[in-house]
Amino acid sequence: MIPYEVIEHTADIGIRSYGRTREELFAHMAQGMFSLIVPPEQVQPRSTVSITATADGWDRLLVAWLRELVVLFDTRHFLGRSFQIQRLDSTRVEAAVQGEPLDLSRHEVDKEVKAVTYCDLSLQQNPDGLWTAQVIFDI
Amino acid sequence: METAAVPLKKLDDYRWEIPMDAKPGMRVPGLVFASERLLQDILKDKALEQVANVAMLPGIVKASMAMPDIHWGYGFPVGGVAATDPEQGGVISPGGVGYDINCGVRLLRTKLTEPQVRPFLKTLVAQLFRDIPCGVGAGGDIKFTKEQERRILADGAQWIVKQGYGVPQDVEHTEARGRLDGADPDKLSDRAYERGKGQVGTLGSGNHFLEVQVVDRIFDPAAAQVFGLSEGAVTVMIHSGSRGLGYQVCDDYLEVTAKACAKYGISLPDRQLVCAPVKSPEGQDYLAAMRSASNYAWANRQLLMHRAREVFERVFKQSWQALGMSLIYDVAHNIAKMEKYDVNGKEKLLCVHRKGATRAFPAGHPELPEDYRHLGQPVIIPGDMGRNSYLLLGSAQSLTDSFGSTCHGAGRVMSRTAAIRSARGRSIRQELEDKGIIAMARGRTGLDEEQPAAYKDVNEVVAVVDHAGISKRVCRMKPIGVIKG
Repeated sequence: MIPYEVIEHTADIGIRSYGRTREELFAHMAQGMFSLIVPPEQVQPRSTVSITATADGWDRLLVAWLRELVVLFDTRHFLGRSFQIQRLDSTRVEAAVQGEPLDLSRHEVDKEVKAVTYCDLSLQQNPDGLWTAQVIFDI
Repeated sequence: METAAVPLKKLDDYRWEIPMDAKPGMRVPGLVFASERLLQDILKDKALEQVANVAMLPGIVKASMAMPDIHWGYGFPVGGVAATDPEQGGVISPGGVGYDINCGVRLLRTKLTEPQVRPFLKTLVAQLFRDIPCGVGAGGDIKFTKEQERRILADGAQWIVKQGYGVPQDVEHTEARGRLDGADPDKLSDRAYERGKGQVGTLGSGNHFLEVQVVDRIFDPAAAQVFGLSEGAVTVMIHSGSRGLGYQVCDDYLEVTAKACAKYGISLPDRQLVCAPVKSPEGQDYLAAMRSASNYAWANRQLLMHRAREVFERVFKQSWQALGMSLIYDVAHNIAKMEKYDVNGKEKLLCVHRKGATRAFPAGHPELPEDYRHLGQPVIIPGDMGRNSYLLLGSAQSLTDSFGSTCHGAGRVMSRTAAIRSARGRSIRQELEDKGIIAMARGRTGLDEEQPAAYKDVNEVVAVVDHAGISKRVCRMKPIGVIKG
């Protein structure tokens, strides 16, 4: 099972992520989003940031989670490399994010993620139990 | 994902109607400005279905409009125009403005000609690339305090000029004089301030750019002369918006208006069309926040222009005034404005959404600066990288036909991933250099995903609006130097 893949969209770009659990799904989607900014192998897990997001319902929560990470990057230039989801239900996610601040001497910047959209948003569990989600990002 | 084709009725060579019965819930028809050729591109994505969806908004007046560069967007298509009547429960919708509030473009003239610039071009582009903060993670080089940020939100380009980064004429030659009344810095979240704090005077990334150009074709010699342009003249174009601050305002108000839809019983075919009645507190709050973000974007472009002038001074060793680097005009192409129009014989104040569309007021309009009032409003159309840009003039017909609007650029046809795939093995930078264009971009795939083939043909887009009569070509520019974030 690949954790995520990039999907095409005319003006922007999307990520489809997979997980055996919802926690894994949320973590893989975050990984996928940060992979759009800088190649993940270039990011060292040097420090940890705690992130909390709340919303009414799973798909809104997925968007809220990713939006917190976009703000984290845009304000503190913090790149997430790995994500431990510590608490997750349909209205709240709490996570520890390991990563480091952007360092232009080591990090090859690719895209700027401006926003997380609701366009073609999906979050579902397949009959075989695999969780999948899709999010389109405005870049 | 596949949907049935939206029915189209040809009105004339440049106008197509989506009839009101195309989709249940449409309150007005759709009106698409396009040629047969451009329609082939337009039909490749769901843009027309989105035009039909916008026609369902409460209080929408006359038609849901689409410019020839239209493509699929978030709820509203990019290249759409929609006017609503607040007195008829008309709504305002953040998706009808876009994430990048007041993304827009300004055009400067210079006294320089191509032969004078060519020997210095590589140095000039390199210096611009060094001195203009651009790209992800690039902070502005001036640190503003929170109080100063509030002033920027309230007073836009006017405040920036007062600090010494420009001259009064710059403000006169900016849409809305670089400052919308009715902005309210208190309507922005702390998060929006946080994101905006370090980004004033930054170019951004994606399709934002700063270009050095050469006028390569004149359509209206008399107008070109008023703007100080002639064939071979060097111009500078800056395309940028409200950066992270604008994106956050949009995000924040998508949440606010989503709740407002439930509160006011507004049902929509697409959740991304969330909106609130203009007259509601939520609608008024968004309007005030959007105006603040617009002012931020004008401040941003004013500061970027100031930096560009400084670079030219450094390279050509003359003051920017001696180089004739005056601002021709600055236009917004993601914005909502309260404007008066004649609707069935009555004058009404409407909320006009322009998302990927530009205002195009005609000669005589009181909003125009005095020195342009006899001519009309300059409309600046940034072309994609490696292709032409245009200067147009607004026309009287835009007021009757398109709520004073015209196109904004070229619009994408190819996804970024497809553009990058098609660029694999090629050096887009070399291809541009072979065409006489020096391009420098930050980011790994910056040039590849912006390659010319990824966009509709801007020449065709501009020809359509010209033939449709909603704006008229003045001159065309070609790029010779480009910096991108």
